[in-house]
Amino acid sequence: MANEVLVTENLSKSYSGFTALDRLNLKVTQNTCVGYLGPNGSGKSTTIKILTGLLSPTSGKAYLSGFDITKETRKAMQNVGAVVETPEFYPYLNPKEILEYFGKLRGMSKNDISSRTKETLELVRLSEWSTKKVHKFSKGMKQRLAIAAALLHDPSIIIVDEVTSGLDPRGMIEVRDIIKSLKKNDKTIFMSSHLLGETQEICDKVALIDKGKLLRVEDVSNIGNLSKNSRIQIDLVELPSKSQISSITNLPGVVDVKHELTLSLIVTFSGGLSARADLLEQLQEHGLRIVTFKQLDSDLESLYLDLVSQSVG
Amino acid sequence: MKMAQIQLPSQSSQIITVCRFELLKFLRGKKILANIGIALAVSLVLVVTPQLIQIDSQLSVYDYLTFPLGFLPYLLVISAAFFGSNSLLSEFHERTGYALFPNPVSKSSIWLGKFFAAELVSFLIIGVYFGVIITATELKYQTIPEEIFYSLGFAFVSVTSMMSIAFLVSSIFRGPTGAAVLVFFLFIMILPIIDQVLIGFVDTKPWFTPTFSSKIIGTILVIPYPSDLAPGDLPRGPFDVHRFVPYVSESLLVLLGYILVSSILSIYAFKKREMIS
Repeated sequence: MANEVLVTENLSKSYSGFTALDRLNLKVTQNTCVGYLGPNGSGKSTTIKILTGLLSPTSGKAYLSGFDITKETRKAMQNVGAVVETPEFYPYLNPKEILEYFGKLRGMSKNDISSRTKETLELVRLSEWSTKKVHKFSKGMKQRLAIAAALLHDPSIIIVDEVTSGLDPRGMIEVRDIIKSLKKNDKTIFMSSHLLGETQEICDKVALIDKGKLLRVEDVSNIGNLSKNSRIQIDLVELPSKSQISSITNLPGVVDVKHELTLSLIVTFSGGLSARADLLEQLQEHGLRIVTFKQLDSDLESLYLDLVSQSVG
Repeated sequence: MKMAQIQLPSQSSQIITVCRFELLKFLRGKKILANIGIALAVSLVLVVTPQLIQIDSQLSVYDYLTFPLGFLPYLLVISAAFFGSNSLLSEFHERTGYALFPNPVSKSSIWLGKFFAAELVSFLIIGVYFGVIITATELKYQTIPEEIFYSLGFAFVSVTSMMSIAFLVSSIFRGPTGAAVLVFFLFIMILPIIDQVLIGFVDTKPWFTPTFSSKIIGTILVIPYPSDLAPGDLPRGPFDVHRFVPYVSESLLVLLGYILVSSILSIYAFKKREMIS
C-alpha cells in the first residue's frame, strides 16, 4: 500500500435498508487525478462523505495516507483538503477569519496562515472580498472560498465533490484550471463529477460507479479503445443513395445508420480509434463526399453509457 | 509556496480555537446584546422596586438580595436556549459542518469548544446580573453577605446543567426553533410542573430535578438555612403539606450528575450524527 494514498476496502453504506454503497474497493495511487463518475444517486457523494469523515461506513474500511478514516480521523485528514457539496460558512466571519480558523485547527503558524490566505484567495479571485462577511456571498463565491480553504494548508490529497457545480461558465473554467495546476504540483486528486467532459479533460483515470457498485477503473488515455459503441455524425455534400446507405450498414463495426432525408448521417459504430479511421476511408471509397466526420459523444460518455446501461440491465 | 509538514496541534489548543471563534459568533450576534440588555434592565428594576414601593426599610440585606434572584431562573433558561440549543445542530442545519468537519479536529473537541464558549457568555450575563445586585446592595447596606457569592457559584453550576441539557437537545434535534422552544419550555414549564405535581399531589420531594435543585441559588440567602418540614411541624392551616427544601450538597450532586450524563450523551450523539443532507 506504499504508493496508494486513498484506499477503500469493501466499503459499504446503507440507510435504513437502502444500500448507497456496496463493497467498494478502490485504490488511488500518489500523484494521480482520478475522476469519480456516476449518475445521480450512484453513491459518489456517499463515498466522498465517508472519505472526509462526514459519514460513517456501515461496513468496510477507508484509508487516507494509510490512516483509517473512522479510527484515526485526525491523522487521516491531516494532509487532505476537501470540498464537499457547496459548504456554507459562518456568516459572521469573513474569508480571512474563516481561513485563520481552519488554519489554526490544522496547526499552521501565523505567518503561514497569513501568506497562504493571500495566495489562496488570489487563486480563487476572492482577494477583494477577503474582509467582507460571508453572508453577502453568492453560491459561486462560497464554492471558491471552499476551494481556498481546501488548499490553505497545501495538502497532498485533494478530495472534491462536484466542485464546479454552482459556478458560472467562467468560474467553471477557472476551477478546472486550478485543478489542472494542482496536478503539476504532485497532488493526488480524487474528484467526483457528473460532467464527463470535465473529467476527461482534467483526470488521468476514471472510476465509474452506479447503484453503489464500482463498475470500472480505467486510464483516460485508454478509454477510446474501450468504448463499445459511439455515435458518429457524418455531414455530406450531397444526399446519399439508398444503395450507399445499405452498403454503409454492412461495413465492419457499423451497428446502425440513421438518415432522415438530410445531408447528415448518424452512424452508431463499435470500434476503437483505428477502426474509426478505417471507417472514414471506407466511406470515401463508397463514393461519399464527406464534409465532417465527428463523434457525437466523447469516448468517456460512450463508455459511461455502455457501463451504466449494462448495470441497469 | 511549498510548506513543510505541519504538526497537528494538541486537542486542547483546538478546543481553544473552536471556543474563540464561537465566542466571536456570540459577540457579533444580537442574542448576547439582547440577553445583556435583559439582565441589566431586569436587575435594575428589581433592585430599585423596594425603594419605589417604600418597603426597603423593612427588608434585611438577605431579603433585599432574595427579591431580584426570583427572576434569575428565567435568565439562566434564556441563556441555555439562546446559546446552547442551536450550537451543535446549526452545523448540520446550516451546512457549515461541510466546511468544519473535514478538518483534522475531533468532534469531541468541537463539542467542548462550543460548550465552553456558550458557558463563558452565560457566565458573563449572570455576572452582569449579579454585578448590579451586589453593587446596589453595597450602596444601600454598605455590606455584602458572603452567601451572595455562593449564590453566584450555584447559578454558574445551574446554568451549566441547563446548558448541557440544551447541548443534548442540540445534538439530537434537526430544527433550531424546535430545539430552542423545547429547552425553554422544559425549564420554564415542564419541569416546574413536575416539581409541583410531585410536591402537591404525590407528597414527594423532587430532589432529582434540575429545576428543584437550582433553587439553592435563592435558598442559600435564607438565614438560617431551612430544612424540610413534615405536615404538622408548623400550624399552617387546612392545606398543611410537606415543605421541601433543596439541600446544598444533594442539589450540587444532582446538578453535576445532569452535567455529566447530558454531556456524555450529547458528545456521543454529536459524534454519531452524520451529514446526510
